[in-house]
Amino acid sequence: MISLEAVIDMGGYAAFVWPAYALAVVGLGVLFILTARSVKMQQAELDRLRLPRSGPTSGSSGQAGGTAGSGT
Amino acid sequence: MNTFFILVGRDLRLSVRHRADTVMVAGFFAITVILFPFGIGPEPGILERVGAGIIWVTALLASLLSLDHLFSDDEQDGALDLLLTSPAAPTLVVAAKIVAHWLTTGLPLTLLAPILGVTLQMPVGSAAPMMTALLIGTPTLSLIGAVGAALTLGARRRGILMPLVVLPLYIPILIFGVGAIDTTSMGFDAGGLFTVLGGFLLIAAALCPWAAAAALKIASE
Amino acid sequence: MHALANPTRFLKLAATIQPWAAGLCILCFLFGLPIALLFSPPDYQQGDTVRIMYIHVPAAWMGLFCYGVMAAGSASYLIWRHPVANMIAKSSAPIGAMFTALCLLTGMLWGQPMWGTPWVWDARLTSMLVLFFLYLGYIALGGAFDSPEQGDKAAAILALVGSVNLPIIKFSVDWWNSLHQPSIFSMAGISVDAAMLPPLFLMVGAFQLYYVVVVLMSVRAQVLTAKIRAAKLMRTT
Repeated sequence: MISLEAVIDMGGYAAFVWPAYALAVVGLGVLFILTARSVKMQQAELDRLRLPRSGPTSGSSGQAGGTAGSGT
Repeated sequence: MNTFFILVGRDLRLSVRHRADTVMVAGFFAITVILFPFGIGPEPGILERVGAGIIWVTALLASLLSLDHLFSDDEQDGALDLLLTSPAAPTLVVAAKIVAHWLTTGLPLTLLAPILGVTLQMPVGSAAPMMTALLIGTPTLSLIGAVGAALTLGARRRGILMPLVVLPLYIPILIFGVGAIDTTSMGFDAGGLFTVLGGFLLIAAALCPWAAAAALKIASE
Repeated sequence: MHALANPTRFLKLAATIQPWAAGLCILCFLFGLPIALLFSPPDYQQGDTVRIMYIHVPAAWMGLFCYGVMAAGSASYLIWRHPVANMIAKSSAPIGAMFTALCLLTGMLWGQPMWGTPWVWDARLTSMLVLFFLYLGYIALGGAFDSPEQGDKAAAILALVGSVNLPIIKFSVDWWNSLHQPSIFSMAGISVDAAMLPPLFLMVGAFQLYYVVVVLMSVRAQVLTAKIRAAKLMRTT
């Protein structure tokens, strides 16, 4: 069976193999988190814009968002 | 076709009147090339070896600098809108501006290069291939650069954006431009490399005016 | 295809695809990573450094794949004004740039023990470096205009120009490389053992599915941005 030391040591190339995988984890992870966060923030912003009817318009702002999707 | 020459003539007259552009581009080219001996030392062997590369890289940068005004002057005084709405095909207008740009920047650079090559201690025999390579290569620079200039028209921080957009596209010309000079001065036949440079020019001439015209249409919308 | 031009309908479809893609992606990683790191054999010449390949090669593939999607999306945006195609193109750029950077960095980590130096002007690495700058140019250009639509269109044209240029750059760099240093050792020159294929394909699959998940998420964010802009316009008018 594979021993833990051998895995960590990577045949003496641990200093190259592990950082490569760490970079992959960081790169993919950061981009994923950033994208997920932007979705969440945009959704929150849109909800905030739609809910309060304090705006000068009298029309339903819900409709505004609904038509916006097809209008872009 | 007549329109084309009228347009080229107009741009040439404008640049003669301003004069500064051509002189400044040539000046930039010269002073930047002169900087290299200070940067890497005046040993003849080294300078001779990297001379072709210095000339070409500097020519790329000089050509890039001059692109700033290619469309923006005409855009600011409204002439560009008039030209694009005129009966002349936009591609033709763009092609004329590119030709005028090359005549006022690429051609002076080509003529100046052998003199600067001498200061870099390049062999006298390399002057002819250098001028040939620049003669075939710099029009391609103007063509690709025109696309970059048109795309970035109206953009923020255009001065930084344009090198980022244009320089990667210049790399093939740099590679074969330097290759053609070096191969010839090493005593080999570089005919194939000049052909490749010519091929690049043909491809660019076929596609770039069209792409630049499309980009200008977007910018003027 | 034209039915998907409607962002709302596209998002509905995306919502059904996304969990499956995410699940499969995790599955690929769960199987791929242990095999890549532990159970696959070390190369007889390169030892365990060959394990970097399971990141490096899929990342290189993804870097090219994303550019392809970007060019295709940009073309259909310019020709048919397909709004979702534009959003997919725009979303692919940062992912492609990330994978290209990952390919370059892992290439350096692989190069250090193999070449004795992190950076060699190897033809493939050099081409990837240029590709990285093409991505940067596209992203910078798209965000440099006050009108988002103008930025989108300019960037789309640049993507097409770049896709014409990419083969030319590849050809030039290959020639340049062969002129200056006859490659003694090329990264792709390893004889790929049959046992290396399963982890390689699993990692390619995992990256590919990761791309699907993130691209769909990013398109959703862009649709939301468009809706926010529209909602703000409705308020002010």
